[in-house]
Amino acid sequence: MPSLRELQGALAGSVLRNLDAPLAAAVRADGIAFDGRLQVYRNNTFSSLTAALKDSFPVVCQLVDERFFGYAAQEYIRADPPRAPRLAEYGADFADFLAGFEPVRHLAYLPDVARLEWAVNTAYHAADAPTLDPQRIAAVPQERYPLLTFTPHPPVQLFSSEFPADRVWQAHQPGGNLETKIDLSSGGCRLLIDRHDQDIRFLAVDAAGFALASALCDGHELQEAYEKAAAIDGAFDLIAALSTHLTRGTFTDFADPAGA
Amino acid sequence: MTAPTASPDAAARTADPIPARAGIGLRHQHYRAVTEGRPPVGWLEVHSENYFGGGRPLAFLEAARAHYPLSLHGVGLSLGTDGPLDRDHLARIKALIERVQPALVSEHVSWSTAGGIYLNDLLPLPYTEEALRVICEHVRETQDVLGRPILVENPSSYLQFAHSTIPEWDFVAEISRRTGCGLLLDVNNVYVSACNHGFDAHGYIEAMPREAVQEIHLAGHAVREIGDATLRIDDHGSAVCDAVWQLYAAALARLGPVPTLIEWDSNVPDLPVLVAEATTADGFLTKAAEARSAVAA
Repeated sequence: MPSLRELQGALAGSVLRNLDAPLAAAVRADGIAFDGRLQVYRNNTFSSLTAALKDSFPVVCQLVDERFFGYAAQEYIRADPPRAPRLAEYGADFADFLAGFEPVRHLAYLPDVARLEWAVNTAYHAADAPTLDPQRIAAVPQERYPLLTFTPHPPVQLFSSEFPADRVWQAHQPGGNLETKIDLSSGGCRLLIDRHDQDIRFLAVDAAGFALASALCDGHELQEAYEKAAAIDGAFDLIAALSTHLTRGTFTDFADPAGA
Repeated sequence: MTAPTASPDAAARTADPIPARAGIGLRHQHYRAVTEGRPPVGWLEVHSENYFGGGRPLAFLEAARAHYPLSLHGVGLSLGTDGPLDRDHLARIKALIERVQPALVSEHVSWSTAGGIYLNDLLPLPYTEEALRVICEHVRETQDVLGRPILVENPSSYLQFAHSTIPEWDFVAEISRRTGCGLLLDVNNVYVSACNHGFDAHGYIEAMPREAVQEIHLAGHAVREIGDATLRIDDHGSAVCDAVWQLYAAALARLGPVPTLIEWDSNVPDLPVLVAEATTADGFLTKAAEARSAVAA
């Protein structure tokens, strides 16, 4: 008689990997063969997780078509099943999986579209928090600005790609234009993704602006972040960039070590 | 992702009790129709896990909560897993409870996680003393952390374990007896499992401790032919079938009127179809209340 722990490990192995031997003896045989019973559980697990991935990666699903997506999802579920009982968190590594998935090797842009969808998904589900009131920054004496650090608003995500992943994504939204051909070699994109009034927004930024936003979201001091941006663009306009972030609500809070 | 923090008005809002009427599961397809149309249903139930983040889902839930009593139904805590309970998951449930003040909080007599892998299904337990001990410990721990009793729901299943020693109805009743938790009697699950395993559905309901049953679930199920045999599958994808309505009437005759939820999670219909199912259930509940007052008089 298997212990509860052995039994649960055996059932998981049978559902995910068709490893039936350890479980078969523990299941009562009456009328329906073991495999017919287990198939119900396998179907529940794989179809519900595939549906969850489809919810999080609807554009990838359109790009590869639904049947192929189902196949890719099944392989991904076997290779990297969920580790937490929260479906909104499942699929963080799906883009990496696609990058190494032989049948889509020729679709070099596909993993980046998946990464963009994951960033959108993460922004969509992120916690609510107030945005930083710009008046609070205005009240800080300017000489203290270099040492300020910022806390990003929970939904904020930074995304960059050597492909126009944003245009591919836009074209596949409801009401998007699928007629226009997108030249995949027409240049990449750098985006700041956030959520405003529950809607997801993209802000396209240049390389210097991306460096600034990335450094600030990683907790670097404003001076350091500015230096990273200025190294890319000597004429980088810090005041304009900061003002954009404060107006849009990129941050939820800041720290002023000199003012503390 | 972090759990939502309590909103300022949460403390002012009381956990409105769930009336002995029919409610519906709130699904994202119906967010707007429910918050703006305010259908005549007694209460709403949601899957807790869908509201651990912020943004649109939580905003809709709060908007709906402003007009309806609420029940939080968890599908991920995996009370039946041998191993430590997921404390992080439990903390998120607790934070959501503080935020939306549900009248009822429920989970399942099943398991979903093994060896750290979440299978996203409600898997059957062997009905043994060992499994009973494990699930009771987890129910107690959950109730301690949440600071309130929970309800546990009887499962539907497609296999039985050869080494089970306790009938399912006794196993379920015993969890309530040992931990003080309430029961969520899923009448469709009773019917599905009774058909699949050849036990008496009415006898199962007779075995439920009357005062412990605080909620009933009703749903549709699928019928699959496997060789010469039939397996009924609880897919929540269609209307409640006649046999389940009859079993429901029998359950109400024994229990009196109990808050009843219509679950419809796959092939989700338009809201009026769901509301019509709830209206049918309300008809049964009214009859059960009349029968009760006739006896009292």
